[in-house]
Amino acid sequence: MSYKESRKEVFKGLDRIVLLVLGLLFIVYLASGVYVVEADEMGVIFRFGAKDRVALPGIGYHFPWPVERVRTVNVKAVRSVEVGFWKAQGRDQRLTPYCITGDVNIIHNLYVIHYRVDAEDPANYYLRARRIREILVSNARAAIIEVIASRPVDEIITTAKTDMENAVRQVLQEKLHSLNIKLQIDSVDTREIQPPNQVRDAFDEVINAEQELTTQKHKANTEAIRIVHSAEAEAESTLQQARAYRTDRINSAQGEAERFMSLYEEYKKAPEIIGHRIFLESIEKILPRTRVMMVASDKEGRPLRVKIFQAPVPTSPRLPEVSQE
Amino acid sequence: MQRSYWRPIFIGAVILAVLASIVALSTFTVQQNEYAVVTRFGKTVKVITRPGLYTQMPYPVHKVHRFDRRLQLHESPLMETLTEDPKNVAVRYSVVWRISDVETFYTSLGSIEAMGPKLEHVLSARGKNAIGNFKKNELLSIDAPIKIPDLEDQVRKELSEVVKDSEWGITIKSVEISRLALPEFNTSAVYERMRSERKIKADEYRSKGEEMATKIRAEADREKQEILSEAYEKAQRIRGEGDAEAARIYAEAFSKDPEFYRFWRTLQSYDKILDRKSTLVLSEDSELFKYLEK
Repeated sequence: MSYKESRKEVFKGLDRIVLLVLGLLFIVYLASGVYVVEADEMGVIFRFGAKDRVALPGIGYHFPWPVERVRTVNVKAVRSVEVGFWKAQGRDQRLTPYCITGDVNIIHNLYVIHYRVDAEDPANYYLRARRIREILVSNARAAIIEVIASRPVDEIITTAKTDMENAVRQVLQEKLHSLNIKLQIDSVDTREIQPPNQVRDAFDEVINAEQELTTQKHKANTEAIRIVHSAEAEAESTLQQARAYRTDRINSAQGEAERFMSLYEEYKKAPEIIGHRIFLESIEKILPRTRVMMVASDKEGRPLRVKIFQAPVPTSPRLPEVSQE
Repeated sequence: MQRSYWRPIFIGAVILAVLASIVALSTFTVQQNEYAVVTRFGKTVKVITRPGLYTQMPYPVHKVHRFDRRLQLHESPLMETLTEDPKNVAVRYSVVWRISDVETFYTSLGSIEAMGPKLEHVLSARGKNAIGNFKKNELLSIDAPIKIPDLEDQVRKELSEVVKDSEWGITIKSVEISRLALPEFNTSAVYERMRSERKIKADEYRSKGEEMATKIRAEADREKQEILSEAYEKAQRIRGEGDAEAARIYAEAFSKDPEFYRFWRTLQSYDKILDRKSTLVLSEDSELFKYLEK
């Protein structure tokens, strides 16, 4: 075999390789039309730039570039953006942004807007607005201004939080609707609501005063409970004393009555004798401690003579117990 | 000899490349989100408002100008102005607009970037004037519905008129106030007022607290009095019951023989009445001594 012939063989082989490579390239080109739409996405297929059809989640095929193109957009994911009048941004850097309340107070705020792309019209996300997020933010700002401008500062910093979130969401959704921007506002959350630093201490003082009020109320209530409890205790003891008195009275009456009755039983048997005995027993008890003067009188009752029987022992320092010392 | 193998491939490739570049140069696509204006040596020959594949004479004969047909956002700087009252306020407008007549837009402005200064110019005049139709307490109020939407609507209408008369080929979709502020020299007065309002509020809470506490204590004292007097009444009744019951028991027992009772009770009384300080003066004739003399 000559050298030339062997070269011919090599080139013959090379032809086939080149053809094979070209064929493979063409297959790869055709295969570039395969696309995948993820489960949480929706796709839109454009043919020569014009919206042609919607591609649902799954694998699909479109004519390769430059005929057709697919664009997908996540329609399940909740996107979020911070909007508010909080830290200086953009061209008004020298001033911290703020809102004006209905009663002309200055207030800073920051909200987080949660939104989704409408699954009914995914192409809208690409086709309706050039800077869709910036338009959303600008509309949200306008909504916040409107909502705050119609409320007093007291409500804004205390009770109206949820109410305002709902109002901002509603106003914003209406604004987007009127622009035919198909973004679904899921929720608006308050991140910050604060008075300016220059008057923060005055606002804090109100909060303190409010807490003081609660404390004072609590203290007064505690004291009131204590007063009532002690009154109840006192009342109870008064009642107990009265009950004791009643029992005592009844018991002693019964005792005395019983004593009387038993004496009477005896007496009934022989009134003369027992009566006399009772009399004497009493006198025996009484007379020893009293001074007795006996007066004899005549028939007309004039005293004749007086006898002193017994003088009680006078209470004196010469008592035996004392002298024994 | 070996060239014969390469030639058909080489020639085919060249023909293909030439064809492809002719196709590429003489066609163009217009996307769904844009308009296109085709000019020949600077003169408009075709206005395309529908997306798709179009043919053209290759550059430099034909030139394709593309314009975004979507909504555009323009935000003005913060501008100070006066309300009807007149009070100083500062506002920033956000305008959403879009190209509605691309041919007019192309000839009058030529680019989206050129629109900004034009809108700015109109806003600084019309936007400021419109605020002069409203009082400050119509824009900020807690008593009546606020008129910010009315103001926005008015500016939108005026802006739309100007835009129409100027033949810029655009439409104003919305105008909004995306910032409402007070001039810097006003804010310190507002802070002062806020401060005094807060002080009033704080004092209100404090005096309310004292009032409440006093009320609660007074209420407790009243309740205490009620409890005590009720208890006293009850106690007296109980004591009375005791007295009555005792009296009944006595009466029942003593009524068996009142004579004996009187006798016995009198003796008991002597026992109580007579003590060491007492002196008894008795007659010799008394029962007690009748045996003594005999």
